[in-house]
Amino acid sequence: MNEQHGEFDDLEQALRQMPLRAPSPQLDRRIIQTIQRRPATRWMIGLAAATLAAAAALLLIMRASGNSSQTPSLKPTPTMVAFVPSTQKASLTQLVETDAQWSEDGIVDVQADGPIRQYRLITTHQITEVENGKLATMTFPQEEVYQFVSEAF
Amino acid sequence: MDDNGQDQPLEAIYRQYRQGLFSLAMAITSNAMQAEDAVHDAFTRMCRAGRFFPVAYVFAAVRNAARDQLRLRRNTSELNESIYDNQPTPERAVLTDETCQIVRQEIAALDDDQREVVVMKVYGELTFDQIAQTLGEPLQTVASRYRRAMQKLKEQLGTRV
Repeated sequence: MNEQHGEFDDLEQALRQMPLRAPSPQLDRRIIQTIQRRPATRWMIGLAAATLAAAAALLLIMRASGNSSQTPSLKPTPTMVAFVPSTQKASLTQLVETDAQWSEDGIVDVQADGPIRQYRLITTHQITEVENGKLATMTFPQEEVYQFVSEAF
Repeated sequence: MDDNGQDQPLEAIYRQYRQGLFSLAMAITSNAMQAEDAVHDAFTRMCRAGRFFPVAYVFAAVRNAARDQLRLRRNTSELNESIYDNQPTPERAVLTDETCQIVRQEIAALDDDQREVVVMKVYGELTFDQIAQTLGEPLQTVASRYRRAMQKLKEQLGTRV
């Protein structure tokens, strides 16, 4: 359909002369920041997913190699640090820090093939953004629980 | 201004249609703060899904978010702010104060559906096709609604405009 409402042209013009309430500059800033930060957020999610995938792969390797009866090392996993370059804004810099640590809960159950030992993988992703001279830090904790069959005494 | 439903960058859409999007949210919520929250909520939701959208989709998202805001307010104090600024700037004061007041009243007196269509057409500068996509209604229905609303306004304003 074409836009044929010529009989209302004068009225439309009059309505457009009315002083509209305008959106505030704060809203403009909120919207633009929301739009421009989105790719960085995706990147962070990707990093977190990659970290978790690596942890899961490590566990699978341990199980496949028949070492399920051995306790995993409880030494803290080295902290990974990554600088995320921003493609959207030259003034935006991000520091992504991931820390993962194992802890042992001990024997939580006993089954026919042996006692069940439980471990926890506690991962913390900390994202620090430096934008226009201001610092903003977000922390995403995550906890995973794994159980392995240990050798019977 | 018809984009033929093609996806456009979200930021470009906001910069071009910010007034129309905000006015639509104002027409639904009658509250500037809630209108701004509605626009922000809509863009936040869209940003989770992508960066490129058709213009009509963005208007639909803001409309839905404004309706959500309206539902949230049901049990709180009712505000009734106009889509129009109360104090026209001198350079835009083409209409007399009396005419402006009548326009405010008559726009507010329109049915919600009619007011939304008028706002999207006049202040959002959307085509009927885009408005139909935004509302999910047939093109003819939207065009007829607009015609009825403008006819009503014309009758009320008489020779003032």
